[in-house]
Amino acid sequence: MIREIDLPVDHSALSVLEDWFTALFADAGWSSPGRVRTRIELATHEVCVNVVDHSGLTRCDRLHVRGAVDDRGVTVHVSDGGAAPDRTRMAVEPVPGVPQEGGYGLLIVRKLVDDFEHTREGAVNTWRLHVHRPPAGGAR
Amino acid sequence: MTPTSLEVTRPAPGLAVIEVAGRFDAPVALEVRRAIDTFAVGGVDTAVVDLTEATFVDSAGLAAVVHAHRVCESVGGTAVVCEPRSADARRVFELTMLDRVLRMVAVRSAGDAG
Repeated sequence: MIREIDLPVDHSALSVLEDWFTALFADAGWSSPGRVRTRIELATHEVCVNVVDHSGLTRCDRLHVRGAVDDRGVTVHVSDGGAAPDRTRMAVEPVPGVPQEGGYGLLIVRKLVDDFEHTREGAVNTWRLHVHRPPAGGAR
Repeated sequence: MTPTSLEVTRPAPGLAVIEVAGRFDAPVALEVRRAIDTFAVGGVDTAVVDLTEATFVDSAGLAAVVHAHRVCESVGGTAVVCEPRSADARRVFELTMLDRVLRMVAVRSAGDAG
C-alpha cells in the first residue's frame, strides 16, 4: 500500500502527518502498528523538520512524502528540491546527556529507524527511512 | 489530529508554569521559548514545564525545554519538567539521554496504577 502527500515547507504544515500515517496503516490493513507507527512517524516528522530548517526552501515550496507498507515493514521517502545537506553538520552528533538547544533531529531519526539514508539526484534530495515489521507476536 | 493547548500562568512570584497538552512541536516550542524569555526578564527564576498531557514531543519541543533549563539556571534558578504520561512523548528525552540531565518528575494522579 502506497500513500503520498505534498506539504508546504513550513513547520505548521507538518501536523497533518499524524492523520496521514493513520490512513497509511489503515489502508494497508495493519490494525495495530503500535511502536512501528510511532517510530516511523516521529522519524519522518524530524526529517521534514530538517528540510524546513536547512533546505533553504520556503512555505511556497513543497516537500513530498511517500509511504509504503508491506510485509517487511514501512518505508518512507521524503523528497525536496532544496540545498544539498551539509554532510559535515550531519556527521556531528550531540554529546549524549549534554543539553544543547538544537541539533538532535538526525540523532533521533537514526535511533528510531532501522535504515536511514540520503541521496541526491540532480537537484532533488531524497531521504529514505525504513522500520522493520516485527515478527508475529513480537514488538519493538 | 490531536488538539493542542498551551497555558502559561504565574501562580506565585518568581514562578512560571507552562502547560503543553497535545503536540509539542515547533510552533508551540516557539511560544514556550518566548514565554520563558519574557518571564526571565520579569524576575522568574523557577519554571515548571508541565508535559503531562503532551502526546507528541519533537526535537523543537526538546530544544524549548533545554532553553528553559538554561535560562533558569543562568539566573540561579531551576526548571522542572513534568514528564509526559505518554511513553511515545517521553521518547525524545530518552533517545537523547536528556532525561538524565534535566530535572524531570513523573506526575501521577490518584487513579494511576502503581
